[in-house]
Amino acid sequence: MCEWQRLRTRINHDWLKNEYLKNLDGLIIQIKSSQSIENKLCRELQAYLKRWSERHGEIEKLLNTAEKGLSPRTLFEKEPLIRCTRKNKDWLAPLIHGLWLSRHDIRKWVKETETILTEANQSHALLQSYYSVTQDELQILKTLEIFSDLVGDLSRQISKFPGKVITV
Amino acid sequence: MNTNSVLGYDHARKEFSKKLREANIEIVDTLKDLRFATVALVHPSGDIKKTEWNELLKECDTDSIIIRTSSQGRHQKTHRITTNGVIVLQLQISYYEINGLQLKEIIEEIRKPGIAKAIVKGEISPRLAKYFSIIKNTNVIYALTILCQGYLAIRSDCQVQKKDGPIHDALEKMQWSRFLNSDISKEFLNPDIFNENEILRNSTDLDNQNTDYWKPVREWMNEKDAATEWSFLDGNRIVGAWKTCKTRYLIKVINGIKTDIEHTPLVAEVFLELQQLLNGENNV
Repeated sequence: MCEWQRLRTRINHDWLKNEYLKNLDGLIIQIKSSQSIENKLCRELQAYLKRWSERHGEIEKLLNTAEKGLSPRTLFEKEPLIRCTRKNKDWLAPLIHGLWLSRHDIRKWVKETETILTEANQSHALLQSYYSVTQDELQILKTLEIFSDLVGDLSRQISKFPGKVITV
Repeated sequence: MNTNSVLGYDHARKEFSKKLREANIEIVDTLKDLRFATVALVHPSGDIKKTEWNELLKECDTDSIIIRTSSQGRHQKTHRITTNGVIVLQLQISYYEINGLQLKEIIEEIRKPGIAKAIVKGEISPRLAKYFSIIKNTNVIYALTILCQGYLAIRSDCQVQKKDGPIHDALEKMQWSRFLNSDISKEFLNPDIFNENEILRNSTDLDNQNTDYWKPVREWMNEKDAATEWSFLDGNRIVGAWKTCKTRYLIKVINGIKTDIEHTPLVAEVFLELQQLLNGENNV
């Protein structure tokens, strides 16, 4: 497992998918069943909104480092290719990175994922404003559902990135 | 409940359930219900307690097969047979990378006598290799695929135009032409490949033991745990028998042992062999 993959597991698998998304879904069920956002649920919602503000940057970082972290060029930092001479590395490493990029459209995947992240951030901002300004419960619930769907899409999209460094 | 059936269970009741439905596999509500399955496909998740798993394994019949899946793939987790003879296999790729048709293919193949037990022993049929091959100690494999690509790239002139032969096929698999014609090549292709082509050809020559190009692999194989790497290559049966596979010849050549094989086609064939092996593994 490469470093990027470890980071992805920590952010996406452990937090986003198995903690944050589950909590959001649980909150939606509770709000629907109580038919109003009581104080306790209000505090929970506030906590989840704050959590997103604190951690969405980690997802951005994950996406920004995907090309570098998944590139076969990283193998030049490990045995046995770490033994390549500087001269060989200078032409071979970028060549291998370029060939890999043209075979696996990582940049396109990153862009598509960034679009979902932007939509999730917009939805989060909207939710934040409904929560702090209008307090409209119906709007809050509706936007919360949209936000939760986007977080789910985001998690699924991140899961689709290659699980390891690919050289061919 | 049918006692000779294929059953599926998805703890999250989301993505993997979709794949199971695509493959027309009956989905059960609890992990315990899988005890009736001949072949069970399961996406567990961390919420399942170890005791629940152990209960299930105890209640399954001998020779029943449990295939565990996950969103990440279960890289390098070993397959096993429990004390009461239940075969537990770990799908090595994420279920996101599989569709219903592939699930059907897996089940069809795995139900053939002896196939699941063979997987536990590491003898995996080519049809199932991409799903169950556990590829460890891949340092030399990855390094060789990289060195082969560089070697072929600087010998690529005119080879793309030829319509057959291993060099043409390898360059095609590398997508060399596509790369040359893309914007990406402007960003990453070092002009030395063309400007200093003759020098680079000499410096990567397999005949010359003084060149540095193949030295990383030569040194690594000789000084590190060559035995592990060799047994790994053997265990994975690269495109048929190890004794005849081209990678073995290339390693001999890298180590200065003369063979009567022409080098550039050999490197191309090695790349094709390793590409086939790793594509099964990657399946992206």
